[in-house]
Amino acid sequence: MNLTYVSIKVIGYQLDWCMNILSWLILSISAFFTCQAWSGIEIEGAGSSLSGKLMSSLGQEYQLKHDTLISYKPLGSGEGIRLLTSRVNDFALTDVAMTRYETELLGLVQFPLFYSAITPIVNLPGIESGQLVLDGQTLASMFLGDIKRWNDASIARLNPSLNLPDSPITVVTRADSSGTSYIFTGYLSNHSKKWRDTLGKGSKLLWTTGKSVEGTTKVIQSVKDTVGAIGYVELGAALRAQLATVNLKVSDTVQAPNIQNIEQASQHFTWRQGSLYSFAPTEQSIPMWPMVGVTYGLIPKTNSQELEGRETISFFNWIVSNKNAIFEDSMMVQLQNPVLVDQIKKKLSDLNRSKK
Amino acid sequence: MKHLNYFFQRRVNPIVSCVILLLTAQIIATTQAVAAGSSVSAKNNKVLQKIIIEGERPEISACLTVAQQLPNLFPIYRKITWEPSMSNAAVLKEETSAEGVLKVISFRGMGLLHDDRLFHADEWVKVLIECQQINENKPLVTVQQSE
Repeated sequence: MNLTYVSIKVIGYQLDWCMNILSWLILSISAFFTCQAWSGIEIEGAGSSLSGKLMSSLGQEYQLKHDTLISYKPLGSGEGIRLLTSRVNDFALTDVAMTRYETELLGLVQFPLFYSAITPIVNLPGIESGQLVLDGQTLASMFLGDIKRWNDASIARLNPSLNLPDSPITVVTRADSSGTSYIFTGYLSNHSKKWRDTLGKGSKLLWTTGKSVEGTTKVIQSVKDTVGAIGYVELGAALRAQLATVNLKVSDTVQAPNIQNIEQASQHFTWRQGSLYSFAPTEQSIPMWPMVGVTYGLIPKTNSQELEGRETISFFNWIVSNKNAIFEDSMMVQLQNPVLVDQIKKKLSDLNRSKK
Repeated sequence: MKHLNYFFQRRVNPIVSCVILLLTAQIIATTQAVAAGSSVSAKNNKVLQKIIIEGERPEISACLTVAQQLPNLFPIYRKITWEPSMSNAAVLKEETSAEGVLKVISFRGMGLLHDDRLFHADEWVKVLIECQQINENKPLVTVQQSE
C-alpha cells in the first residue's frame, strides 16, 4: 500500500519536473522568436502634447515601411525640450519655438513640421459646437477673471440669438509648460493690452483665475465635468472628445476652427531666414482661424548613438518629403511651401552629412 | 655680474625694442580676450542647460541665462536675485516688424547694493529686470530700481 503510494508520488514529481522543463522551453522559444521578429532600431522622442495622436499614427506608418520603432511621449513642449537637453531622447517636438541663440548654445537643430489650431471649448447645456461666438478681448477678460458670468453684457452682445445662463464661468487652464498655452496666450496678447502687460505670452503662467490642470486630457475632463466651464485645447482633441468649440470674431467676420481656416492662416506665417523661426499672422479680413501655431522638430547636432541619430534624421526627412493624409485626419496642416520644405530638407541633409 | 655687464653693454635699437614690447603686449591682450570670450560662451552653454533641465519655461531660459551675469554688468549691485516663483510671473511680449522680431521679457527681483563702507547693514532694493532679444541674438539685459 505504502509502496504504491510512494511510486505514485515519485511519478508525480517527475511529471512536475517535466512540465517545468517544458514551460521553460516554450517560454525560451517564444522569447527567441519575439526577438527575431523585432530587429529594428527604436528612436525616442517627447514634447508637444497636441502632437500625440499625430505622432502615434505617423510612427506606425513609418515603422511599417522602415522597420524603425518611433516611441513618442506627449509630455508637453517644455518637458520635451528638457529631456532633449539632458540627451535622454533622440528628438523633441515643441510648439514653443527656440531662438537661434538658444539652439546654438544647446547644440540643437530646429525645423518647422506642421500647423495646428487651438480652440476654446465650453460646457454650456443647450449650446452646441460653433454656436457661441467670442472675440479676443472678451476671451482675455474671461481668462483674466474680469468677466465672471456667462450672461455678461460683452458675451451677450456677441451672441444676440443665444439664451446665455446667469451662471458663473469656470476657467480651466494648463498648469504644466505647454505649447497649447503658448499659442493661446499669444492670441490673447494680440487682443488685450491688459493681458499683454500683466501676463503676456507664455507656456506656463501665473493664472489669475480658475482651475489649472496638467495635460490636455485633464483639461478635457475638467471641462466635461464642470457645467459653465471654458478651456482651450488643440482642435483635433476637442473634436475627438465631442466638446463644444467656440467660433471667433475676426475683424468683421465670424470664423470657425476647421482645416480650411488653418490652411488659410498657414499661408500668412512669416519665416526668418536660416533659423526658420516663425511669426504667426496678424489678423486680416480674410477668413482664417486666428489661433494657429507651428510645431517644430528638435534634433541634437551630435547623437552619441550614431544609428539612432541617422534614423531620426530619416524619420523627419520622410515626414517633410511625403504628403500624408494622416495630418488632415488629425486636423493639422502639413508644411506646403516648397521653398520652406527644401530649406528643411537641406538642414537635415547637412546634419546627416556631418554625421558621416 | 658678467651677464649684466653684457646686457647693458649690448646696443639694442630702442625703436625695435618698443615694437617688440608693443607686439608682446598686444598678443597677451588678444589671447586673454579670446579666452574670456570663449569661457563666457561655454559658461552660458552650461547655465542654459542647467536652467532648462531644472524645468524652466523654455521661452524665458535665454534671458535668465544672461541675467545670471547681472552683477558683472551692473556693478552698483553686489548681488541680484529673484524668487523661483518669479518664473511663472515673468511677462513675455513678442513684437514683429519689418526689421525682424523683438522678444521682451520682464520680471521682478531684488538687488543688494554695493557699499564700501566698513560698517553698514545690507541694503536690498526691488529691481525690474528686462531682457530684449532682437532677431534671435543674445539677449541684452537691463536692470533698474523699481521703487
